[in-house]
Amino acid sequence: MFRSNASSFAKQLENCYQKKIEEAATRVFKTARFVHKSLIDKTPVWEGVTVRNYIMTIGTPYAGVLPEIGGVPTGRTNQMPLGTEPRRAENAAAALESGSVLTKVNAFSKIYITNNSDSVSGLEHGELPGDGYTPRSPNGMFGITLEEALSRLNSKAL
Amino acid sequence: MSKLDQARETIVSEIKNRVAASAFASIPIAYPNHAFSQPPNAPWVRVSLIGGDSNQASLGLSPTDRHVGILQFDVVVPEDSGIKTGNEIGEFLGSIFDKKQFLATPGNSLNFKVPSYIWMGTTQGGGVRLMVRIPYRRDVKDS
Repeated sequence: MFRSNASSFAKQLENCYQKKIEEAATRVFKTARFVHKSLIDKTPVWEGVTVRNYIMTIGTPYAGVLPEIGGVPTGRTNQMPLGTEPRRAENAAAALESGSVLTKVNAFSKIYITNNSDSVSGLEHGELPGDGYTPRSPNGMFGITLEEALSRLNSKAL
Repeated sequence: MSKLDQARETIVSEIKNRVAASAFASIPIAYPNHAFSQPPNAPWVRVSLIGGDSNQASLGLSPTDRHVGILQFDVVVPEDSGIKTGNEIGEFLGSIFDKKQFLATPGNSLNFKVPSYIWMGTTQGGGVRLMVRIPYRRDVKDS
């Protein structure tokens, strides 16, 4: 006797499809978060305006420039290791906060991480700080973060 | 020799050998953390190895660790001298590593991608800079 299980099969297919969608959304979510944090962590801080302006948005890129969060003296950041600058914590936290717009529900929308500060290009290309100082981050932020993200995606670490 | 320094040694040796056999044999090259005097009014090159993060790239009893990075050449030419010389030097340096693989022993390899060439304008210390960037992946098998 022939017994059809077509409805059960279709249901399992549907569940499988939904599971794959959720897995993909999770990967997009994790990748965007990783890229956002990696850019911030690699960026040298003086006044804090560059780090403050890594803004994540969904659908439309952010067009403005936000002022840095001051409050504490900048300190002699040229003599400090990357990551220990006095103004890093507050400005980095504010920039990361913009990432709260991302959820797994909207993960398939266009995700933008913009930075419209004047100094971001110079920092990426090892041109800053200006004449008379030794650039603290000739390594840049974007190029190496892209390679890190691609490698992690390929190895399923993201 | 550490595996990390083996990669540096491979890259530096390749640059030295290929440049010595080229039309640019006399160009001064600044290698990472070596004393260097910038020549006045003449082209020169700076080499930088930009390290990125690492992750496990395969499973098994002796998995492969993958380290990503960027090999960067900064080709500096005198101001007001045009960009032809810089383009020629930069493209030559980029071609040394363009989609090349080194250290190709089982499980250990240094794989380069395609170079990018970006003119950066006037740079600190004088001159105009062409930035040549070649991303790479260094795979190391656990022994």
